[in-house]
Amino acid sequence: MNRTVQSRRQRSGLLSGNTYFLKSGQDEDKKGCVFELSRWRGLRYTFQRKRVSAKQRDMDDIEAVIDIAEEHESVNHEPMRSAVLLHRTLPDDRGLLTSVGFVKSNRRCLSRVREAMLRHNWREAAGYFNSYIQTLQAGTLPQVRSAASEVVWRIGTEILQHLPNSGPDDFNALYEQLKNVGVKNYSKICLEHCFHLLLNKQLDGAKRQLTVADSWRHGKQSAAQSLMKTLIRGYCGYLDYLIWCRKRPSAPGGVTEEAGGNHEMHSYFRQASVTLKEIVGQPGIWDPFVLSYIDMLEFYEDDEAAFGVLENYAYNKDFPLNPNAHVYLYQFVKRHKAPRSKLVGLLRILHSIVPSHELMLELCSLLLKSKKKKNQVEALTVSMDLLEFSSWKCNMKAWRCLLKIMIKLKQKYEKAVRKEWAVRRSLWLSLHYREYTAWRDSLHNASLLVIKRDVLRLAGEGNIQYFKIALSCEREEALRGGERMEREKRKRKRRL
Amino acid sequence: MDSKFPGQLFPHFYLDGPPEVKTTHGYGGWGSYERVLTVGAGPRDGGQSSLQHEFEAQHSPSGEEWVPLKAAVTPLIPPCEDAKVFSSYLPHPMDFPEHMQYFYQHHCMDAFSSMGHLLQDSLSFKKNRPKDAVSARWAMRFIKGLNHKRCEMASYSRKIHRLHHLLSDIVSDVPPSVLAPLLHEELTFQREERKFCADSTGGALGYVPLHESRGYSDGCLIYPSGEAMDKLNILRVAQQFRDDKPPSFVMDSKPFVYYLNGTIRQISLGSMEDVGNMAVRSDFFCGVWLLGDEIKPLLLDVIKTKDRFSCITVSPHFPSELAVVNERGAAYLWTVKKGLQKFREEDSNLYFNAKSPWRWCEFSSHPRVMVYADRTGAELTDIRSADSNHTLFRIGRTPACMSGERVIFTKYLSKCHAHHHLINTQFSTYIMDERVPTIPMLKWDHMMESPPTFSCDLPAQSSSQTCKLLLGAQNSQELMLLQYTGGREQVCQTRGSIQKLLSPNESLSHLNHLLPHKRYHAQKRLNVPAAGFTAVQKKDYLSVFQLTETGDIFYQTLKLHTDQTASINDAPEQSVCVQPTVETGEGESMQPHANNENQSVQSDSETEVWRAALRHLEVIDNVDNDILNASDTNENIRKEEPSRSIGINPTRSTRPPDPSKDPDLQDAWNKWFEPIFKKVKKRRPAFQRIRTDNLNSMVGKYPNKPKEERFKTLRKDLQEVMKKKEMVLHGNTYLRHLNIEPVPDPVDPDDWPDDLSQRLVAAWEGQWTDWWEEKLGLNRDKKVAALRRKRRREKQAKARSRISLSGSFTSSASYQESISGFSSGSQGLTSGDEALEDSTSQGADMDEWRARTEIHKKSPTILRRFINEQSTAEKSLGSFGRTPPRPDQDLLTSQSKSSVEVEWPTSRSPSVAAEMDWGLITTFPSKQPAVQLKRLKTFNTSSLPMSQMSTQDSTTDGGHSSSRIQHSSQTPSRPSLSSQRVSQLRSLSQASQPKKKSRMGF
Repeated sequence: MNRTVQSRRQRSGLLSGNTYFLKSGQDEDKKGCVFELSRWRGLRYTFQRKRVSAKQRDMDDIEAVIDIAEEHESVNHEPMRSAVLLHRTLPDDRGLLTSVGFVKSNRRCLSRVREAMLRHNWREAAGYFNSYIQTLQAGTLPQVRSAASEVVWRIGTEILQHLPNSGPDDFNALYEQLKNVGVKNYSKICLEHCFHLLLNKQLDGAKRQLTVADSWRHGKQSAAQSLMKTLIRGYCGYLDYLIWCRKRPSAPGGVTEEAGGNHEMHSYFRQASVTLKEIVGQPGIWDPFVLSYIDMLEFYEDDEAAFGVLENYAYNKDFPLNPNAHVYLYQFVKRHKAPRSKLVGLLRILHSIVPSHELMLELCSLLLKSKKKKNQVEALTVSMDLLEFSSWKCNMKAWRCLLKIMIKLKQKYEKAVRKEWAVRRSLWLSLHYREYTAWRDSLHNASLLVIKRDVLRLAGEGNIQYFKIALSCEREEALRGGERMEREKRKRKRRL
Repeated sequence: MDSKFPGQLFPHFYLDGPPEVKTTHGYGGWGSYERVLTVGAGPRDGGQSSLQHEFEAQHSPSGEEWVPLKAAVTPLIPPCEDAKVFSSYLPHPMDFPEHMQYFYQHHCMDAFSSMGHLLQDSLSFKKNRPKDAVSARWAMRFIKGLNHKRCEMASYSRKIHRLHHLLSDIVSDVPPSVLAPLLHEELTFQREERKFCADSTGGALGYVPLHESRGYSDGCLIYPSGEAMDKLNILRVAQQFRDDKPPSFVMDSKPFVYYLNGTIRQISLGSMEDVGNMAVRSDFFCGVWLLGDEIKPLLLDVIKTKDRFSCITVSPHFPSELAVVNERGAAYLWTVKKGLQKFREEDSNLYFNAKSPWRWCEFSSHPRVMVYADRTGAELTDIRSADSNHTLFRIGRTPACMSGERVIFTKYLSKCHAHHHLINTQFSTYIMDERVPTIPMLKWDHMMESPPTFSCDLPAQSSSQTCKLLLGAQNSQELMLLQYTGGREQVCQTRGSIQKLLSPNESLSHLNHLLPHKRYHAQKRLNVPAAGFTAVQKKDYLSVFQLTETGDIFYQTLKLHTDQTASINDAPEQSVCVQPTVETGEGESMQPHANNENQSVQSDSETEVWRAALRHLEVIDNVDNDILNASDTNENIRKEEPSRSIGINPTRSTRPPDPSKDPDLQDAWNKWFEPIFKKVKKRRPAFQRIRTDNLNSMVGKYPNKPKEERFKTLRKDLQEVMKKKEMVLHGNTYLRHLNIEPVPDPVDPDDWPDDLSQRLVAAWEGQWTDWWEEKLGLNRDKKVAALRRKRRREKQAKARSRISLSGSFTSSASYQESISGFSSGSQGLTSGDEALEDSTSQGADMDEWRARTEIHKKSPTILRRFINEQSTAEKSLGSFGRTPPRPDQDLLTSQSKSSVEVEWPTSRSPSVAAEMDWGLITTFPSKQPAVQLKRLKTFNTSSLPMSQMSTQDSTTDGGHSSSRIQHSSQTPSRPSLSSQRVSQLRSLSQASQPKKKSRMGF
């Protein structure tokens, strides 16, 4: 009996605390930031009060809690009413909003918060936000309630991130208490909380958050929730891996040395590998997870499993095209000293997907190493494909590579070069060999100009204008080079 | 640099199928980190640096801070005077009869001309008209009779009636039955068009940088103007910039103008080399111009088709190549002067039927691979080979799409990153890398009210800076600034939170107040939808130009706010002046900041020199004297800085507050408003004016000197008091002393026994509703409940006290008490017993709990409490029954026992009746309790002579006192009603009594 009375009192305390807190919000604007924080702590205070009812929630079943909340709302609405009501209505015990004015003012408050935030007036936004928190206490339909709590969480976090004097405690308070308000957002907020802790270098706290979120269950799982769950499990494994990394002996051969330390490490490995294996099997992009899983497998010298994972990640049809998947596979194969033909095969697939990838240069050099005509002509195609992309247009390495290939092919297979060039001629002339580009290259990158001219000459073109510019540029270079040479000579003489 | 690809991407799910997530709120852009991964120490080289993992979030809260220099946008050019402003009213399709009426009334020549011509010969004004002609006078009467407002059936003339039936659909040129559905269709279309118009996607404002040299850059602003937005203007603008000053714009006096044959929908600009291409899209034709520093704008080529064009894009790779798409879904590569080459044609939408003819086309990092987009997604198409299409973006396959999401606009971000594409939907903004199809590198919830149809990308000026994306919406004129980094070695990250820039329609609130009719017209003009925007970044300044559909251009300048030291470790700011982060390398030394005047003078002289240098430009100072402004704003910032460094909390959010009511801004706007208001003046004002001239003259005519002085002093007093935020007291002023009026005698409500007065008294005390309830008898149930509660409580109290008296009372005593309980209870309440007060509230609580039976089941604690209460009550009841009557008691108890024996039969009979039929209670004879009470009284008088007076009181005006329980103001003005009710109550209480008795075992 006493207990109920107490909780009732606490609830009224919560109410008074909140109103106090609203009032103070209006009064203390002048005092500025210092008080701002105290208001935030006020928020925490309110939430602590709330947590009492949340604990009760654990004891009683949910419906009873809702009743309590509703009763508490009807109490809450009292101050919003005007003093004299001609047609007094009994408080609606279903928890619907009885006061239209409350909804209106609340909506206006939210739009003010939004406007202030979009204009980056964070302090003003914080002021309005203080008043907006009361939405959480307003009883609405459950789906609206969860949306409202998500809005409060998002806005609150964003404001905290930009307020100058917010501390980690404030963040923790916000995350912790909003988790329990909108039950549906629990796992999402947990994950975000974990991210926040990770960014602030609290790995252990983050791990704890994830474990809590992983073990949490409520009602029916929607599709989005199950995805979130999978993601949480994935991050769980990832964090296990990071802890495993810490425990890993620095020397690669130290697996068998310390049995005690290793035992713990192995348990982390087991946990991480189970969860990571699960998530890596689902279609998606899992670069960090795959890398960590492979790292662990390689450490325990389970190369076959690692290769299987990577192959699945790169070639499974259900997965999106991800150049990194191919890169990881290529690097893995290369690390394990695979034959050249296999490497070329991997890179050919990559070329068909992303012809502008960096590794195409490596493919060219691999292809050139083989003596076959087919491969050498392919190298030409690959390098020319690469240079058509605007990101490679001015890349010296790629041009040098092309020049090298052309010189090599010119001696034996001139016909192939001519053929390839004929296909691309019109595009290349307007893309690479315009007067403006020549002029620009002569100003910024003279050596590139020279290489490009050589390529043009090898292709058998007689673009006189371009050659002229290149020639003048070369002369200038030579002159400058000569000057430099002379200067250096003089310097040497002086030294001597 | 752009050739690199990030080594790790943020984890994402990849789902296939229509999206099912629905939008619940529009705040998704905030507060989330989205995803996190480790950077720096990759797992490969984990051996060395595995102990410290650095994490990076996909949404990083830290970003560059851009602060607008002025409170509102500034007009750049004088308003376009022949522009038409459509009302913001959305046409409703069901309004078509009114539109038809308007057409018949005001365009009668169009509506009825052919029939009029036919009937011409049959009507005549002459008196002696030919036989087959009708008098015109009759025709006039006929038309009067046809007053459309009236019901046609009620028409007084039968002739009219008949003629109407005969001719109604041939009199008008277009029969109404044909016109109406067409009009309805048109109105529906217009309404949709007004809500969102895809025609102007891409925006019709462009800025081309032409020439850059030390201190200023020269460029062209390209914009449409005119009534139908069919005048293409190419205006040369010189932008002066220096390290410590916001850029200022000087413009050519007259733009190059081309008159086109249709509304300009989109302007697309190619990359500028020595010369560059500019393309213009109208509905049915497209044109290409050549722009250059030293040449006049030159029209190169025009194409025309029967299908509407929906997009034109100039190639960023090399000149003279463009891509155009029409609404039939055919995409062409247009090589200037060589013609079109069709590379793709789609009859339907790409992935599902979105019922939209809108298509879009963009170039990609490969000059022969195009992005072909519609509302459902975007595909990469290789021109060289047919059927080599890859999905770049697809609603449903791209993660976290919402249901109902549609592509609004795509753009190739050639300046920011060679492989990045921007894709806007009405909810989100995606950055796609064409090397990783369908998976977005980045995703923002842009939180805009209307979907973004314009965008502008500004590349990072150094590796430490962010790429900036600006999104613009049409109807709401919103402008959003987004920032991101990465995409090369680093993974893509958003930076900071989304910022909303100023828009023209909110500028009036930052200006001086206008007269209502002027304000109305100004607001109407400013509320017009946006038609495009463009942005130019020069070092730390970002200038944004906005174009509205009336052809007005406004601009705003933002400044990079750089005090990162303060943000990180709360160190007081040292550098007061605004320091640019990028070193200019021009060797221009900073101006001494101490002497502001000197500086502004100097800047003036410098501008003069600079103006002289720009000989070919006829400088007009039509914007505002920005050079002076420049020093002003700087001064502003500088003035604030010291206070900030002194301030208690130097913070990252201490930004220079918005400069309020800038006089220069006001001047510029005043100048801009002038022609608009002049045009308005010609029309009659729609607002009523109240003449106040004579009121003023009255004041001026009879000056009363002493009075005037008194008022002056009073005003002064008032001002002082207002400063101090105190109250004005009459004694403190020099006003005449007021006569002290005696306070009138208080009115005794009892003197006014009539109904109205009573009600007023009740209303005055705030018990108006109660009074009515009382009067109408609505609160009967409540009263009954209250009475019962009270009685129970008393009984409990009694029981307890009796226990404490260790059985000195017999059960009969309790019975007797309960009978007299009514009156005594009422006394207790009227006297306001504090002890009772507490128990009342508890009792009320209990009642509440009992009423809500569902609680008992659900809440064990509550239930426990309830049970406890019950058990105590029963205990006390039990004690009633258990305590045996003791014969050897004192006089009082024995006497009371005898009274019980006497009363037993009388009290029993009505209770039984009451139990059987509740309705009987009301008709119960009111004498019964009186008899009882009398008996009781007589008994009391014999036993307790001392208490006689009090009991008598309670019995005589029992009804009166009971009504006072609720309303102390109640007077026995209506004795009949109140006494009746009291009698009911009594009978009730009695009815309940024996029931309990029986339970007690009597």
